[in-house]
Amino acid sequence: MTRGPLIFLGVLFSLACSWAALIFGSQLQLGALEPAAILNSSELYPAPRPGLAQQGAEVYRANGCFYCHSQQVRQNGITFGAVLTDPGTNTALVIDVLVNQPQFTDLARGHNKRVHANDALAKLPVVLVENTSAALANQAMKPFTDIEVKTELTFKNLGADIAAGLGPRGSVARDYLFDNPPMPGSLRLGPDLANVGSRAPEKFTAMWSFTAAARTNEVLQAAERERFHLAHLYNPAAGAKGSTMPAYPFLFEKRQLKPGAKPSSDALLLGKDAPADGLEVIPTSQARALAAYLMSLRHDASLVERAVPRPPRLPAPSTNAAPSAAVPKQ
Amino acid sequence: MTAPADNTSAAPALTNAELDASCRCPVACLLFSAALWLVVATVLGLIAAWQLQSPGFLAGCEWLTHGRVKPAASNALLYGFLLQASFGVALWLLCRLGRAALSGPLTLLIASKLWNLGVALGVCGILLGDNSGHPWFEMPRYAAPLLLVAYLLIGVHALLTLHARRERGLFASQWYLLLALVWFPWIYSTALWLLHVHPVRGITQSVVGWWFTGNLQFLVLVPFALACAHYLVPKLTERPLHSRDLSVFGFWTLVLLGGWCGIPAGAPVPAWFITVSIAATALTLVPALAALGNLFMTWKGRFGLVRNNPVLAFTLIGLVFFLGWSVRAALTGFRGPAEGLRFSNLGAAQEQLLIIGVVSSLLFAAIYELAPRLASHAWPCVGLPRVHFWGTLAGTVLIQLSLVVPAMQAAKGSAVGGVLALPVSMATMAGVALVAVANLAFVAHCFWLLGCHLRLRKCKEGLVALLNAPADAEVAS
Repeated sequence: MTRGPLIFLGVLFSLACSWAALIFGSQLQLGALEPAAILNSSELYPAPRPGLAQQGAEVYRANGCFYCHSQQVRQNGITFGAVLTDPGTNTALVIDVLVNQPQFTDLARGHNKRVHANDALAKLPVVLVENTSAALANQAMKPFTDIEVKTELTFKNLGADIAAGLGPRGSVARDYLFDNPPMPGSLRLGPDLANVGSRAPEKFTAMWSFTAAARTNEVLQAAERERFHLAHLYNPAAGAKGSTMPAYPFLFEKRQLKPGAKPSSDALLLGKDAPADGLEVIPTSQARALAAYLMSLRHDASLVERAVPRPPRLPAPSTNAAPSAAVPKQ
Repeated sequence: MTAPADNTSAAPALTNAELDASCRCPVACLLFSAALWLVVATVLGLIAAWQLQSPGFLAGCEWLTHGRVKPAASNALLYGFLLQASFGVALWLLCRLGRAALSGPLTLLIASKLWNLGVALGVCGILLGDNSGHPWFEMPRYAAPLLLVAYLLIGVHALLTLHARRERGLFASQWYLLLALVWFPWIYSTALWLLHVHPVRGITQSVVGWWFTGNLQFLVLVPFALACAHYLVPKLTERPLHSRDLSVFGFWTLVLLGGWCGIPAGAPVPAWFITVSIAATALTLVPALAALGNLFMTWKGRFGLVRNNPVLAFTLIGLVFFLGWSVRAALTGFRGPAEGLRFSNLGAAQEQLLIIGVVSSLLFAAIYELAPRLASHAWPCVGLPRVHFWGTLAGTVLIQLSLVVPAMQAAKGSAVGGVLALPVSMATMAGVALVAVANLAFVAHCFWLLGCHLRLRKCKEGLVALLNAPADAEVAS
């Protein structure tokens, strides 16, 4: 090793290999990614962010939110199961097959398997197998499909993040398609934000809840979400005690109220945190954009590469809960 | 040819004093700017650390909000101090080891100004909200190209100096320098092109960012640190490097494996990226152990020399921390442990250990060795290096413990969170403060040495004028 050029060429060659695989390779494999149809829907995912949310992404980036908040749900597997959704009319035949299922054959002596199976059929869907491979789940469904009873393959997404309720599925490359730059983050000093746009109010670290009127009204819900985010940005400690998130007072403007005038409809409703009389706190356009961005964050569309489990389709009489919940709306 | 030796070959050999004189100006310029950036980074780092446990601190000030101070501090440290000091040390090492005068000192001086201009623009830009959004590559688009131009000037002259060497053989130190000097412009220009000039789509940007970060750590910062160690250990223990074959093996395995590291387990990319990266990271333990084994075998039996010698003391902790960092990187990279650790403070701890514990320590060691030679004056104080050493050691250990222990505990349970309990975050803060005191002691000492040098030069000039003799080449430059 006394020749400089030799070392130089060796180094260059190794570098070229790593570059070709990880940079050029990723570009080949992911560079041409396009929005794809959401499963069981004609909608394309992801859609570009609306203008205000796009501006909010800039605020998020500029203020380094991504140093403490990740935007990535991790998933490390999937398990399958099978359920019986509709026994049809020939219940006796179904029970004949059903009693051969492990949960009935394993019953202790003295139990009447048929009675138990009959009880089980009263409460649909009947779980045939759970937490198994796709092949075994299909195998469990076979005797029922043979007698033309409706069954469904079910699956569960696995992973600590999903168990912790951070999202229904792991994040995939497609989720970041319109992020420029993508900010998946590397530290969770605060909660993960990949699904903050669809997170239920009681699942926030700073717990809150929709008003009664908003529970059934999506427009009101959006307004309340925005109000929550703005109040949280103005003073995080108010909602989450001991929060280490800094306040962002510079995203808000304190304005003098004209004597006798009513507070602006944009003003934050701060309760006991409200500034002294005659002052009101108005979010700047930056704060509004940031809130819009946060509300646009959701990695929950069901995709070919990572699907979201949906409740099984039950027979007609109990349809009220069935079809709509299957695919989350964008 | 297994150890840096001072015997010169043939012809009009340059003396050490002449070599030092040839690189005094540019190297001193790089090192003093680096020292100033170290102060900036230390102050910003203290603010950021304090904000973590008292979130209201300076929250009202837009450009000092935590999310801006933190990247500003890390960029000042990385680009202002670490890389700049590495370049300075590298130039000096190339002169010394090759027995050649520095090529293009004036250009290098300009390049160093340009680099500092770039870093200053970048850090101010980050504080003003122009963070690029890519960790380790936060420099805004108007600052990042300046750094590349400045680096190209530095890199070309470093290679020219290497080419002009009189010792035809190459020392292990020089291999590592060559590796870092060639690797940096490629990864930096790739990141610049694909993130700023012609941004790729979606998560591919993050892949580029992760690749850049991994390569910067494993094949730029680590080689600079190892180059210092491979010079200092044989030199100060006055022994040849234990095994040349082992160092060749360690070097080439690092070259082969280092470039594949960086994609974190669980990233939303196709699995093969992650698998390749995990395997490469685990395997980099091989070159790390080869290099460390070789250095410690060289050192064996003479560890007593560490006492009262800041150069060897910093070399020793740098190498021990390097061992810890490599082992931890290899073990925690796997998918199993990463599930609980990926978003914990472990990542921050790893970065801190690499930057402060490993690379800074070895650079400090090299600077303690070379600065008195450049200044032709011994370090003026014995106490300050001690403060520097113990502050760095205690601070680093404290930060590591306070970040890693809770991360390990949390990993057993939940998937969320790196929030520290108050006593723990106070311990982190105390560690950061200790490192800050150490760094300030070091910078103060550097400026004290500069003062001594200037006084000495004045005396010499006075003497020269008095004797009315032609100016001594070394003094005049």
